[in-house]
Amino acid sequence: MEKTFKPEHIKRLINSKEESKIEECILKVELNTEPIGEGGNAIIYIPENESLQNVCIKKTKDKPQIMCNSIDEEHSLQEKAKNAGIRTPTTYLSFINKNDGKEYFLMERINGYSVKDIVKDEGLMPKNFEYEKFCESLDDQINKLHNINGIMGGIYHRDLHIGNVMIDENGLAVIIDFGTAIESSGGEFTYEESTEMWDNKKGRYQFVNGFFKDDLEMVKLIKTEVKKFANLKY
Amino acid sequence: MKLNEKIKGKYLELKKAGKNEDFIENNLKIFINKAPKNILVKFQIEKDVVYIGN
Repeated sequence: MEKTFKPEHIKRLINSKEESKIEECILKVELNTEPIGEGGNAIIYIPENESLQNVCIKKTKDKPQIMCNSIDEEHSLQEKAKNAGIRTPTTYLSFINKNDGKEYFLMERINGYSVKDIVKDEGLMPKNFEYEKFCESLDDQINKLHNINGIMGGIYHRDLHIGNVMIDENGLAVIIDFGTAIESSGGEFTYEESTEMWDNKKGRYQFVNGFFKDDLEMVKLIKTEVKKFANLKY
Repeated sequence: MKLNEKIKGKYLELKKAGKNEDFIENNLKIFINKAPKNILVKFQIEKDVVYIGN
């Protein structure tokens, strides 16, 4: 019999383990925000208040496109990557807002644009951009990420594409969105694991294979896109 | 709810020093039992009301 999933089953992914010994609870979140980006699982907002615009807020959608990490899990992986020297937005906090039942994730807003925005002419390449320097930084980030646990392996992003790599004001690569990342020793199942995707026609989640992307293959494609654009413009 | 190590550390540092505000990063600050002008998030840690904002 076919196994089906409804949106409410997503809640099983909410991480209940409390790493902190201090009792915390959310009382209020600034909801005066404007959207600046949207993915399959979440929408990114920035506060309307200008003095707070170096922060962005990720808010989960009602029907995420795929079963992925909870916001807390994503927060933990991203914080681990950041602490290991990988260029990714600084995390501040993640929580469930009791008022709307949504998961929120507060993090640094990068001063730059995604490769996708840049190649589509919707974002600006930083001045004095150097292609080789960008490639070196991208390779370095991915290598560090994959080896974050030493001989035990590391973090595999599994959804690297031009929308999930940004170029900061110094022309360096910034890796964003750890929503499908996993800690792995890098074996064959790292990318082959099946996941559940929302099927609009059937109105339910269904198991799919082949969703996850190979980080190293995607790095090559991202570099190609950036090179094409840089050759065209400079 | 999950706080990053920096916010957690800053909260404990302020409590120990008997202070009620400090910078976390850039223009983002943490306040304990003192509401800033611009509040991004308000939450409770034990008996303290903590604000992130500026």
